[in-house]
Amino acid sequence: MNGKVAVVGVGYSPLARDSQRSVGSLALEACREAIRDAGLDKTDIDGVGGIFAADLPTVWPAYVIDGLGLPNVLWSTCAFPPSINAVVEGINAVFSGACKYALCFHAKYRWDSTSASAASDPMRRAPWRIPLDGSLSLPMVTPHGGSHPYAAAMHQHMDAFGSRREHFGMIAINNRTQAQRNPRAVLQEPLTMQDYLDSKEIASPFCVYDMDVPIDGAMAVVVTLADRAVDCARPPVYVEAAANGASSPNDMMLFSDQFHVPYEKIMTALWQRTGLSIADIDVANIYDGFSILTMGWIEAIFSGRGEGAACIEDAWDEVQQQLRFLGRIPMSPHGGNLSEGRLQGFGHLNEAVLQLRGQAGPTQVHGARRALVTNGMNPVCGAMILRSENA
Amino acid sequence: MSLNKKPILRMSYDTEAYWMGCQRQELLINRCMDCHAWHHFPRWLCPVCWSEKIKPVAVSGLGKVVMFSLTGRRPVAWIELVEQVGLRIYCALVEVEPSNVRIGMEVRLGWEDYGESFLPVFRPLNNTGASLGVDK
Repeated sequence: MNGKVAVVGVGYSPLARDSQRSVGSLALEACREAIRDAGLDKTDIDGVGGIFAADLPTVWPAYVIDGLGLPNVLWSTCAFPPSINAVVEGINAVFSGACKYALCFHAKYRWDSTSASAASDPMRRAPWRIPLDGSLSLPMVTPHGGSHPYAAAMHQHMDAFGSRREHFGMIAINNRTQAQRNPRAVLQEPLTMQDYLDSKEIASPFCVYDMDVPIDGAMAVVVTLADRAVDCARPPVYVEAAANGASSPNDMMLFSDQFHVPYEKIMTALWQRTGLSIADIDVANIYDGFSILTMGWIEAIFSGRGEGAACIEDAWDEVQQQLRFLGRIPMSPHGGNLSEGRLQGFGHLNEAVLQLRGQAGPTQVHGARRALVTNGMNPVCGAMILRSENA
Repeated sequence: MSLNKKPILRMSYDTEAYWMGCQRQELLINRCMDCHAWHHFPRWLCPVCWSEKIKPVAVSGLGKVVMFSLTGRRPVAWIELVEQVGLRIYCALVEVEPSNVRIGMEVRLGWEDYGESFLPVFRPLNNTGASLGVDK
């Protein structure tokens, strides 16, 4: 992209464990706020991209288009998660000329299938349910009982590379420390290493703090070409490069020989397409749907395979209870999915935009000019490098 | 009316008022308190002016058939309500022979007991409705 496309609007609904709101209302609010943030109106938006929720009811683009009364939409799509995929689609759409202003959104909800407490709430009954079977092979797995691929991958990482629970704890604690500066974050109570190590294991070896926190919430952005972006209400944040997808092998089981592949491929592409290196990055919003996924990205970005634990130890600031890679790069100032809440990576992108505008408020990283955003896991992941207008 | 006693109804915070109105045999349609536009299905904000000052308001129950289908056990139709051009609700048509249903036919709201809830139905305006049961 090399700065030819820019993010010009960001929008949030309230984020909450129990919003007392419908998921549709959250999506509409986030989208309305993103359009207003850009200084645009309903007639300007001619593209809308959402995320297909795979295992849960989806808020389709058509719902947002009709709910906001958008009269001029000529491009829409529903991409597979994580969130960044909808935005990459929107970037491609404005770059190709399919539309001028693409609104990209995602909405998450604690549907009745997501937990026992949600199941007891009559207002959380899903209208329908779609089984997720990306590998088309689940009938060969499910008869043997529920597996947890993230727990298995974490255990395998510890066994192969000597990583310990403390290293994953530093990821979780970093994000909680950051979240305490983010008024939107759902989890703000301080988290100590002792809390982490003492907590009940959900699926050995990981505990509740290794998992993102399910919430009700929605987020959105508006993207457009750089020459239109300068006329919008906010400082443009330019897309230097974006990549998504995942190469084979990827049968969704997170085997050790597959685990690092997509992260490494995507990061190599981003550096090659921009001529940049990690030395040019001021803030890194690294995906944390599970802490083991963060470990995989950290190894692809900073250290190489199997060196993540040592890298995290080097970056750990015991006094501040947070990570600073290369002695300066903070990770996820918004608190990530682990603490801000589970928007499948959308918060990582919105936070990067606010950081690069200098509008991140209490979480602002002084002088941030370039941000790296990563989302997802094998076989569905993506990443982006963004820069401020001052870079 | 406790929601927990209505296990089949699938409500959201946006549709709760509609369904609760049905329990009372009252057809509530969302109206914007800022620009006064009506909308249906129920949503959290006004699709015309984006205001979130939305109120479910009882309608007159008068309308006309704009589209219909005869594939089921009785006719079903989209009824445009007299409150606003383009304000449409999908309901069964009763007390009319399928072969007599016409686009543009004037109809009037009534209610049927589905056990789970009362549901709105419409019948031709010129029918007396004596056999329809509860009527509002």
